[in-house]
Amino acid sequence: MKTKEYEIIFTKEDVQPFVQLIGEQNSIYQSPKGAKDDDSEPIPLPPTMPMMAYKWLETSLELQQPIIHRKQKCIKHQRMYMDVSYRAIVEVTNPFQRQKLTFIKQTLYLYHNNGQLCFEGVSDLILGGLT
Amino acid sequence: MKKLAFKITEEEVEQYAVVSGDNNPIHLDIEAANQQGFFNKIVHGILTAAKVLRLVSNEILTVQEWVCQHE
Repeated sequence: MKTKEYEIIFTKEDVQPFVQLIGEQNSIYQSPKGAKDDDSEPIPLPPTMPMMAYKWLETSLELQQPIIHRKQKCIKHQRMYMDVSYRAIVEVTNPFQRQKLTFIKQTLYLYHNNGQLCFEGVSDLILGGLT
Repeated sequence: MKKLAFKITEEEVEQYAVVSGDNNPIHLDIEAANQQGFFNKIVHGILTAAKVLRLVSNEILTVQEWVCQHE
């Protein structure tokens, strides 16, 4: 089961509260000047930021409580940047039922507009149900 | 081996729920967490990973190095 594609852009307004929350002081995430001083390209995203894409996705799949993460794995194929447009798709695979619980693997894929895969976030979930 | 320590507060978990939109009650409501067999509210996995990776990036890696996979 796959969702449709969504366009995702991580803006400064999205990144700054996250960076402040985790106590990140590295100037690379603060401004283009900080990123340039560190010999980097435009402002990169903090490594765990791509998983935040879920908050903008409206999937047709309804995950029923309880929702418990068993395992989570994030693979960054390309460095990702602020204010760049990405395409997001969520895929649900391997559903199975055990007693009253549903087990699924949910994968968030983020692609650059040129088609390159930038990020995979794989979550093994236990759910009350999936509709 | 270098030891790195960090702390996650209840307030940070609440702030992360707002920032990420992940309002799963097992992170925010002790009764919901208890019902699922946890003795306390559970910290978001990504918040934990973000804190750890911040330490690793700032304390161990060089500016040119970045973490390409974590779980």
